[in-house]
Amino acid sequence: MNKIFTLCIALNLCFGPTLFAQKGDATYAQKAAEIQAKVWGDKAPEFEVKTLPAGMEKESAVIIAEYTNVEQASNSRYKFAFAASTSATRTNRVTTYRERVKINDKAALDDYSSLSYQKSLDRTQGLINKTYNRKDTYIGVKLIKPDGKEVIVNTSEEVLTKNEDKDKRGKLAIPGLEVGDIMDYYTCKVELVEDYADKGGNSKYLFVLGSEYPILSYQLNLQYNSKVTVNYINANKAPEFKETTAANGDKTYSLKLSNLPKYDDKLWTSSLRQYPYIEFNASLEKSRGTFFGGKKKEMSRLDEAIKNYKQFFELSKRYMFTDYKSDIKKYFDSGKDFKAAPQDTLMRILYDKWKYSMYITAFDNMAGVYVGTKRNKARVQGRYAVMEIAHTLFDMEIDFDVLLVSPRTTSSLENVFQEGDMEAMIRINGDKKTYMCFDDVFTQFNEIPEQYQGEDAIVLTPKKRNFDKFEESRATIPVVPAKENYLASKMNVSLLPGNMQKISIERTITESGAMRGDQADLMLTPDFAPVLKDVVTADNKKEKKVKLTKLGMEIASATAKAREELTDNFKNEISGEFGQDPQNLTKYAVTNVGISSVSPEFGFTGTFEMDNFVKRAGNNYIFEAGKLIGLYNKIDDKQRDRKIDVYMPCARTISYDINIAVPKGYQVKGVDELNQQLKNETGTLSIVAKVTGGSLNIQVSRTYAHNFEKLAQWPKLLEIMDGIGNFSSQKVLFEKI
Amino acid sequence: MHKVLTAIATLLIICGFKSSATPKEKNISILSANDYYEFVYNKKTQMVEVKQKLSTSYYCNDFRVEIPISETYNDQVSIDNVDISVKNIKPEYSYYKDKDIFFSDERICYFRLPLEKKGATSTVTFEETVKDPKYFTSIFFSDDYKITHKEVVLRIPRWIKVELKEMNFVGYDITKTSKYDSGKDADIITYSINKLPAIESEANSPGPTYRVPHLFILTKSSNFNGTEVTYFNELKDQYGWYHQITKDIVNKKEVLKAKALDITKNTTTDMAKIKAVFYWMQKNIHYLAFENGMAGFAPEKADEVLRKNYGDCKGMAHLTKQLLCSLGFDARLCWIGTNHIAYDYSTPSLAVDNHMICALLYQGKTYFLDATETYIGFNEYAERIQNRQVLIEDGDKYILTRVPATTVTQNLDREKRLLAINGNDLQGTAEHLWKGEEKENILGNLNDTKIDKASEAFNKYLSNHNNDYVINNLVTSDVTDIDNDLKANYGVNFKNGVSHFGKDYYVDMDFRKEFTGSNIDTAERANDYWFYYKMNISRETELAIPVGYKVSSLPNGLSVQNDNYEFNIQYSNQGNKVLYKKTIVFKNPHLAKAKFVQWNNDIAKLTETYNQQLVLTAQ
Repeated sequence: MNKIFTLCIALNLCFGPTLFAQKGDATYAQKAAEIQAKVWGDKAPEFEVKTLPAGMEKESAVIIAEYTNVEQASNSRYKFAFAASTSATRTNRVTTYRERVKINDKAALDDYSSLSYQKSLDRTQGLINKTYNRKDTYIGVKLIKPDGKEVIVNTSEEVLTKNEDKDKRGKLAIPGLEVGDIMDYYTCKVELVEDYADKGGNSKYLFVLGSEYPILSYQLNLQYNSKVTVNYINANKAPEFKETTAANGDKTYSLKLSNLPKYDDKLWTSSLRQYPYIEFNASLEKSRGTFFGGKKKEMSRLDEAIKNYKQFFELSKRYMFTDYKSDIKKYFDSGKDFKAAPQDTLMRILYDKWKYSMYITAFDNMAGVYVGTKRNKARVQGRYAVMEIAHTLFDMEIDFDVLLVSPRTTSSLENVFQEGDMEAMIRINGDKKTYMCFDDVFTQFNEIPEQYQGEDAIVLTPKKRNFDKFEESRATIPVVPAKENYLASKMNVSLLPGNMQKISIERTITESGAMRGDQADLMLTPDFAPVLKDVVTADNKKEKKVKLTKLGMEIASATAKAREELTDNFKNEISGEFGQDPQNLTKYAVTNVGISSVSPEFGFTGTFEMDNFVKRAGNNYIFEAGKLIGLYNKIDDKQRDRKIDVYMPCARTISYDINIAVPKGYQVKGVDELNQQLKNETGTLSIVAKVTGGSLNIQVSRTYAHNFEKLAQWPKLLEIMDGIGNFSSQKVLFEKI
Repeated sequence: MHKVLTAIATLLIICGFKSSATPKEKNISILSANDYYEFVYNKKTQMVEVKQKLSTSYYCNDFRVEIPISETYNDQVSIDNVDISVKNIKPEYSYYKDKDIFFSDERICYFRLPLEKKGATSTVTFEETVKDPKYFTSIFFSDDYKITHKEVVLRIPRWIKVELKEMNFVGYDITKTSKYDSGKDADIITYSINKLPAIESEANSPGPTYRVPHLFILTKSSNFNGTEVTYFNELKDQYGWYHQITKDIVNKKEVLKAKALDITKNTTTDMAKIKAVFYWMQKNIHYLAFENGMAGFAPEKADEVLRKNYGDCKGMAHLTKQLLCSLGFDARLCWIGTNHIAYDYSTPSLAVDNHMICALLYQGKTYFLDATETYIGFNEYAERIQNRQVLIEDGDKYILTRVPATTVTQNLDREKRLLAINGNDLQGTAEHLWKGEEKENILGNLNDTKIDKASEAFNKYLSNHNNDYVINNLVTSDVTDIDNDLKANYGVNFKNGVSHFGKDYYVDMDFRKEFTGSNIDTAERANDYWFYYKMNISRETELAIPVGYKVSSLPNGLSVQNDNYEFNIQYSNQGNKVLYKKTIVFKNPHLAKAKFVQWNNDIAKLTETYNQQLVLTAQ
């Protein structure tokens, strides 16, 4: 018996793949035909439309109809696995997307000219007692020609860009597709997934109710058997699903919409705050591993999120953490000094020590060479950082809260849907509340990154002597005022004596708060690591220099190489600002690294020459002074016409202190015309120009007062923007005396 | 509390910071490379094969790094073995992907090779077989890294005739030695190469066959044990092979004729029919690159291209030919190497050509039709095929000729403006005309833009993306008409286009200032600079002098003339108007590195001339 059994396996191994391949191809074709008959057999009137409403011919393409259908059934199955009988979950899911689109131009033809898809993927494990994991995708395309003739596309004309037994990827160039055609196509993914963790039954969808093309008819139909739990949100006034129960007990969720407009690009928007969408999650009842897999339907998503964070904190007790408290004590000469230190000071040291440990020491202790500006873009998961700092705060008996917030670049707090939608930060409570956020190495103590400002937050206040037990409340994260987010540019400008059509600019930039946008590109770790080390180590306790290892020497070489590239980054910063490459860039350097709240500003400087600011006009010279504020895109008529609120990155102040040396033998004309003062609810603009001694001084300052404006304020915002736009093209005359 | 473990801290960092290669040119070099090629006879397949063993030792000069290694293969070239000196590296094999190619059967073997510390050497050896010497066309000596020493050894039995052409050797330390192996009756040719710089990949560079030292391999014929095989001994052999592939393609002639008649139903003259077919092809058959085995050389059936509405260059040339033939015209397939390739048909090889077009022999003249150039007019030629040798089918024979070399007059970009001062604004009208490749460029961009955005996009182009330069009443010629020049007429209102100080108006007469800041960094640029095509830019602005004003200062003009380009700028005061005229002409779009300094000087002069303004003073 055993022998026969072994022989069977051997035969399967020898002939199995071939037989399977042949059978597989036949099965695939048969299944493809069945699906095609079903999809094309659906004669829903919206998919029979052949004529567009008047005016639609001016659109690049029009989606006449589209639907997404999902049918899923998940059930338990007894399996023999892990040398024991156990229960696995088998999920059958069929996801069909069908779209009927009228192609009106070549751009749309290019968009729809090919379909790429994962034709089949088989990750089934086991020889006899198989755990299935198969996903097959079937496609169908038909073209409706302008004369009404229907042409079914032969999808076997596909090419396989991956062609392995268990992994096939297809690509089909749509034959016969022409401008003027209607293309009616579908993709149907058939999945059979078995697993022991119930994850195969989970699925998430984000349905954005709109497209780059107008949609005449839009449908969603999702059907699940009773084992599956569904959660969904309708954000930004997206309509509700119609929920029904089928005769077999399956739940269905359907939605039918018509005439969805196309999206249009606008300045300063936040898509998931301003456009309707539905986020949908289906999961198995017993799953607890995912964000919204709970049985308790009465629990809100936010409550679930809070619970998830609490569980994370509870779990974290098992891990080891840096003893920052002892480390902070070492900063001080005595325990007495430590106790006497103001809380703000202690917290600043804690934060900077954590940052040094995470972004400097951890990297330096690795065996590889991690240098270059790429290293500056490393990120730490916020909730891990929060957990580690919270441990220390708890240990130091500091009154603090954990804040959970949804960044303003994603969904609102009320619409958070997935675990990753929320970020965590710490609020230290005291006479003055201070914050710890963990965005990157350049984030400072008590700095709130712009994406969290003004947002509602869930406040988790730890209970006494209970690291992982919290009181819950709500708070609004403050908006950092415009005066603290600033970019100040100081420029000393002169016309070159030998060629007065060329200017020299000595430029120094100071950036603060959210306007510190250039740190990551203009510095390397060795530039700011010593500064960060200085502010976390007491003066008399500086560590001795460590002998350079072979790896250390390699890092030094790599750093020297990376430093050569910084020159290009300085040039690129200037090119980006002025729209032309600088010439003869010298004296470029970072003047203040801005790595800690001890010295929060980032500063850099450089001296360079540029053409195209000065035009010779007879004996005189026209100086395009307004161009010194850099490239400024004036608002065009399309952008002026706005129908949605304004999500700006942050409240901010941008200022320029410009000194232009008046060439000897010349006088300046047109100075008074530069002066301008504007002030309204959305901001201010101040331009003060005067000639003092041999220099024309222009002080330009514009402030955007808020990070958000209601649509009604858009005209006021335009006043400020137009004011600075007008200045950007203003000129003065250097007239020969 | 416990001290943190570095490993835990490391886990927290989720940036995906890889130990990837930072700039390679100095940190990595190839200490030694040994490439061995041997022509052998495969008795099983009864084919001559080329066995290759390519061994490269990479050296870490400064700091540890991983470098990407890749080798391509296909149906004609197999990778038989990969030996990597570093353990536990498993090469991946997949289709080669290129954004410009819809599908290619070219495959790639790739992996990341660690150089574990400064001074480390890692060696990779690929053993490969080229299954047919026709496909063994070149050996490039250079690499992405500088090479300290390389040896290229070819063992060529005397039963096969192979010509080695040494290309771009000048300026490099390359020596050749030959010896005869009497035992195997074979010549052993060795090239020793020292201190070879890395290949520099730069935009607008000539193709590698113009600049990289390499051997161009011409396999002529073989005679193994009395079995004679002729490869590409002469051009007739290469043509014979091409003709063999193309001559028996069976097309559905009735389908093609019906389509050709439909396309030309509103035409009466021969030329109108020819143009109708060519323009129909350009507008309706879109280019899609397929490189798949013999399909890389054989055109698809013309009726299939017609049915699919797409094709590669061969398919498009074939359909163009068959449509014209079905109307009774003498149309032929043509093989051509674009200007990306340094060779011509004097050296028959599969490396000589890379493109297929259609030739029309009509009333004693030959016209070339390349429908992959979507918006170029009939009898106009893109820079890439101009003056290139072209192999035209002619039954069992062939015709070798050249695509006409056109002059700059083909590619005109002309703008004429009539302006007057109104307050601080410049107002008036403009007319714009584009021809040849300039027209093709504009039409291509317009037609690739969504129709609901095309007008806005064209406005932005005409206004140089300056929102103060307002275009109004824009009227264009038919943007789908390829046969005629593209024209645009529009009103201009240039807000604050005039500066007013005291009694004077200051006017900038040039709005576009082409080539401002187009200096070439002579320290960085390694290769010649090739502009896309011959340019012929003409600008004319006529400004009405306001009543009561006179010209008090007329800017200086400019005249730069050399073999490559001409810059001419003139200002003139003609009664009550000022006329500004500018022409920028690129007669030869290939700017040699030796001319970069001159170019930079001339660009400085051009910029200086641009930075002048006309002064009008109240009388």
